[in-house]
Amino acid sequence: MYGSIGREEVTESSDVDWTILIDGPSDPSHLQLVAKTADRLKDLGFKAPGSTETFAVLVNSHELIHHIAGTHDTNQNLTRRILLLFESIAVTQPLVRERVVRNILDRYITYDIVVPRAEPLSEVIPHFLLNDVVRYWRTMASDYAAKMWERETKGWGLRNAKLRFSRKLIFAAGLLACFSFELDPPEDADDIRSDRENLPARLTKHVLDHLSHPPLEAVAKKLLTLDQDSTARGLFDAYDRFLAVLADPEQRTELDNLAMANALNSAVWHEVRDASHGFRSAVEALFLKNESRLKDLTLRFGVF
Amino acid sequence: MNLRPIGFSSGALAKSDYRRGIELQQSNKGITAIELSALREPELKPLISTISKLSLDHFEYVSFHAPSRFAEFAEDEIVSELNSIPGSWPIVVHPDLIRDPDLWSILGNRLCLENMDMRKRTGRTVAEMQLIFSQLPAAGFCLDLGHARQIDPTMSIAIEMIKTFGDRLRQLHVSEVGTFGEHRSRIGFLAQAAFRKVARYLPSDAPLILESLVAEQEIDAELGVVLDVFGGLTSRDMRRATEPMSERRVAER
Repeated sequence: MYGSIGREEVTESSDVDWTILIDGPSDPSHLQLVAKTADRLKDLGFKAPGSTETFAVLVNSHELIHHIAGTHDTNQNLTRRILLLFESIAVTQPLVRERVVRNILDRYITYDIVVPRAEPLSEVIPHFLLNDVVRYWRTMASDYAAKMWERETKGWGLRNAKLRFSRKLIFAAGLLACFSFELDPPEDADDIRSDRENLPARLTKHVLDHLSHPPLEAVAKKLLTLDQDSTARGLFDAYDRFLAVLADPEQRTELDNLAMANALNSAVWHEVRDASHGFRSAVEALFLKNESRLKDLTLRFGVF
Repeated sequence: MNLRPIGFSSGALAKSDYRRGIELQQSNKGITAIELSALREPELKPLISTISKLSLDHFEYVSFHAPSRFAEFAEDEIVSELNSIPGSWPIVVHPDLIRDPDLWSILGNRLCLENMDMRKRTGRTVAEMQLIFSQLPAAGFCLDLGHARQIDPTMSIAIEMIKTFGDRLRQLHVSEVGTFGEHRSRIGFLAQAAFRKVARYLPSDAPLILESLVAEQEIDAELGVVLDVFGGLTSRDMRRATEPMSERRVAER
């Protein structure tokens, strides 16, 4: 399961984003499992995922692992892959999910072909993964614009709010995961930097450990180490206001059905927009405004 | 240079016919280790009752594999049977067999717990193995590389297991394990590549027990593959290499 369930910020009004993840031989009955799961969730009163068919479908690990970037990757595949890494939980068979996650990280890190260099690495950054995290965030922003066009702004309010909060949160958590070796180096970090043979496996493990925390928790852990109380307060207060809107069935429905022409008359929209400015300021402060290693890394690797 | 005992599980070569499984290996100079397998419950008593009559002098290392499940015996009966095995051979046990750890503690450090494949509910990861070892602190560890690869093809879990349980490591099981947990006949290219990732973390004297389901004529080829992956010579090769040339010629006649 993905989305708010995967991020551990589910509310009573949350929809359920899920896939049946296949990591093994195909079986015709898998499709029946998809139909049965959808029916069961509907019976339980859960809202179905969006109409893009990114979720509530069968997903084979092959595409997630082998079609990373290149001509065969799609926005849908990128979304499933990044969300599997950063905001997913296994309802059954957690080792299958973990196996696919390990394989994806292995593809990003161990199989990333890098130019040989004589000197030890000054920074240990999973560049391929980092680029895909950035690409995911920009893809979400671009897809928002595309859906505004294709759907004639239908459902724009909720999508806009998610872009301002939960999508941005995934980007922030993704950057922190990619910088985690530098921000929270293991005790033997210096040895690892000069041990080229072992480095990919150690980096993969480091990132994997980081991914064991849901995105809000990963951000909170970082804030605790930076002594930025006002940033922490601003970030979590703002996110809490966003979740409060989503948790209220009336406000969520209003946001979902809001006509763009009526936006300025909507108190709910004003609340979301105002809170999002607080969230944006706090995220900017965390990554860019305070002098820190995180700021150095963000400027060096997250921008150019 | 490695000095590792290497050989097959009797069950891999001849299923329940352990005499044949021994015979096939006794005639092979490259083999220095054997695991006597009683993987199926009815095989246990007959094998244990004849152990003292078996000729195992050929082998430097011998271990015993307990049944993978039991229905006929009660748990304490199984433990009692296993405890009657003479000598100090490691006794390889699947962790899911253990319901009452106190019963099994009588086996002390002869008990050798094996990591499991995806079909099982326990013993699959470092955390799950840690839990079992906390209940049986004297137990040794049998790292099944095929099982570990089925759980995690990147082999990170296998490497983590070696790092975490290295001081308990008694032996390895080496084979390619399929999607449904079945041991395959030969170790293929991808499994070899995966096992190579692990090889450098292993003690050079850790015994290798092959579980590949090979025919008699494939034994040497499979041994060659495994030695190529894990590197080095067997302990017997080493002795032969250091023998005076004259003695070696005599031995080879």
